[in-house]
Amino acid sequence: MIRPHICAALVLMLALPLSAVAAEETYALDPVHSQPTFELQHMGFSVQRGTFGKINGKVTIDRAERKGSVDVSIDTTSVRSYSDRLDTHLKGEDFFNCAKYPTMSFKSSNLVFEGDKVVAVDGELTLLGVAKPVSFKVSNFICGEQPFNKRPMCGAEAIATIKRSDWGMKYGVPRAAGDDVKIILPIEAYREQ
Amino acid sequence: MTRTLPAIALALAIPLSAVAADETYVLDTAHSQPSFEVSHMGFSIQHGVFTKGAVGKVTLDRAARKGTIDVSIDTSSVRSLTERLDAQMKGEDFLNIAKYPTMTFKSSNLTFDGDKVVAAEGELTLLGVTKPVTVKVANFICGEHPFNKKPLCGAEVTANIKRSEWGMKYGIPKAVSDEVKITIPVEAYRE
Repeated sequence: MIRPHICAALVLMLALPLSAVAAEETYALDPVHSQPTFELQHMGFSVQRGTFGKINGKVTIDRAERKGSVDVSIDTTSVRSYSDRLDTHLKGEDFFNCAKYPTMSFKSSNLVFEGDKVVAVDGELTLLGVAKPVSFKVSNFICGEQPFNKRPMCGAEAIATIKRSDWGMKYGVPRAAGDDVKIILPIEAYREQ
Repeated sequence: MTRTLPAIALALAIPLSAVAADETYVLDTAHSQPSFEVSHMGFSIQHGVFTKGAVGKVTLDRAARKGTIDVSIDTSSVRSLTERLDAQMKGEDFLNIAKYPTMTFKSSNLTFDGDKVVAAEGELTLLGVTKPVTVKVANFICGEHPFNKKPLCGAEVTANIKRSEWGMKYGIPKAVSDEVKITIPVEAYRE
């Protein structure tokens, strides 16, 4: 009857200093499972989608202090829509102007917590060389062990709707393609050891 | 003169609409690419798409509030996160494209709300198995394409299925969810 108490006390003594030192955890995005999707209106008739195949970034989280940071970069040349012809158009000056702006980035040091879950991230999106504030809603934030490789991981879905014209991307607004763009970012990120 | 014109128009329109009430629309495959969403290990929601789009026809009789859907999807056009996963998805674990090169959805039971289609009850055939599926239809709109001026209807079609009911059981439930959300944007030109 006494033994469990001693064990618990030992764990507590060991855990306290450790958690004080290592309160901030760093997670690296799994680029395969963190590919952003975007959606926009096509002539008011349908909602069309595209993705970016190349992304990388890091998230730091201090769950005790309920703070953290996000630093994500997306390779604009990896944009993929529903046809090769449109992909070429999207990479050109009318849209992402990849030759001049090969990356877009999102940085935040303002994570909003509800309990121990991240529910929003307020930061700055830099696109076409223009930095503007964007707030992502975060849902399904979950941390645990990846069931196969057993590594500690967090997952979530981050969603924001922006007006692309705010960043100077005005082609086709409003008739051909909507100004409002919904960005959906699935996230899987492994804790760095 | 001005009084008789509407009467003539009406006289002409009534028999015409009675004859041609059934309109046929052909899907614009480039703008009708089905996407799907699954939960990955419970950590994230992952997306894929069928790049060749949904091929097929929709008939609408808006006066009688009925119609049909008959679409087919080329399973070999699946595209997911990586080429390696695409290859696995085309194999026997998932879509088995060698044996089942197409999946189809057919319906002759459209639900209208006013003059808008809001749902369709039909049958999805996947891996050679045919099961009932009800799809929701949102943002149904018909009008003139702003550039080519052709009559066009657009909508967003969504459905939630359990893939295991069609025999696609690989990775359930640990790796990939049984539940799959299907989203099909639709643009279709009137013939």
